[in-house]
Amino acid sequence: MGKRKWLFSGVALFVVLSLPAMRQYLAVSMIGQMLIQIPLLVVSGYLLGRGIQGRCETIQDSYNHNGIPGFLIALFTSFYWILPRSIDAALNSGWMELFKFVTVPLLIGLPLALSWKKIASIFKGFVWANVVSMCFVMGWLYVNAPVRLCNNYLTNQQVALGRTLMSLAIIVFVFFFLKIFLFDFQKTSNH
Amino acid sequence: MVKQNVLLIIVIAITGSMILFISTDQFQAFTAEQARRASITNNTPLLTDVTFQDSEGDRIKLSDYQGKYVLATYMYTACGDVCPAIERNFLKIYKGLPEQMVDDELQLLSISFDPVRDTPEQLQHAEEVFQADGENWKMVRIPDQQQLNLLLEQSGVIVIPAEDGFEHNAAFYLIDPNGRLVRIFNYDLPNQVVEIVSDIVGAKDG
Repeated sequence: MGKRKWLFSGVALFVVLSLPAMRQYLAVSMIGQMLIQIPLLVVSGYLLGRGIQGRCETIQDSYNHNGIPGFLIALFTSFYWILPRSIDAALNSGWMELFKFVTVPLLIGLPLALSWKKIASIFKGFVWANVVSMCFVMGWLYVNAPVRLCNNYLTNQQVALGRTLMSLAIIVFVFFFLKIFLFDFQKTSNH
Repeated sequence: MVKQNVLLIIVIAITGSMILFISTDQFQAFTAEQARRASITNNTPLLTDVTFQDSEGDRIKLSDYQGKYVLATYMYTACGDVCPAIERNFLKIYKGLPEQMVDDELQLLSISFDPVRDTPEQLQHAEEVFQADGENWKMVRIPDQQQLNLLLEQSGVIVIPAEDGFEHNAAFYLIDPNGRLVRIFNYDLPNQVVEIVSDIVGAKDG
């Protein structure tokens, strides 16, 4: 895929997500907002990043040499948007929603696209291990929390989100387990 | 290692942590509910002077309780989920507080946000079920929907109509003798509420 196609698909995805009907539709449920809308916004930023990759190599080489700075920006921004408080705020105020639509693609997806390839593979493994366990713990918390975490959503949505998160964590875990112990391991033992 | 790269990592780590620190009120409030409680303890908003109707059908204004503390909770009697638990805990608080304090210095109110179904007769029935005496602990409704909405907003209660009732954030609310909302308590720690309310109300005398 050419750079222009990456760029174009990123912008197109972003535009579709910002349509008022789409915004409203995805914000109705917790799963819609947290597992579809926000991840797709990340993807749109990622596509944008692939589109501009190579344009700013000199800056990238000195400031984002090992990919960690870009990764950290994405990490901190994700932390912010994981807070139930931020999710509520984005639903209660138009400005916060705008803030979400700017920061999620530009500060999570885009830096990830520019940094992920530069990151050492052992660090990548560390990140994945953390993502899987965080996902499971968050899911367990959402299912078992004695209180409603988001004032704008009903508790049953919270439970549904929690179950989905736990299932996702298990799927990713099984995927890596099979990949590492069946495929990668065979490769190394054949040597 | 490139120098700019390392520098940038440090700058991002510090800025990122600071933003998270500030946006969670010093890592204290991760949910909107916690933020609301922290903000109320700091701002103590003056509540609007709503008119209640009790189980006898009598009308009482919030300002009638001036000079007394009011410990309130929001509920609706058709609720089968969390409200009965709240009211049972409210009973524990009612019984746990010193008798003289409940008689003279503190009014307990269970405020219904379902004025359509919670008629005075219905409230009276609920008082019997939950052993509220209808005097020191009253179950009331706010007949005027506009006043009700305003009070809910000022208390930070978000009520969402659900399939067969409402879903709402549950808590106990302490209103001071001047009509200011000063504290919000977890609904599931009645003993703690007894302790703190006794301290606050008791301190008024000393």
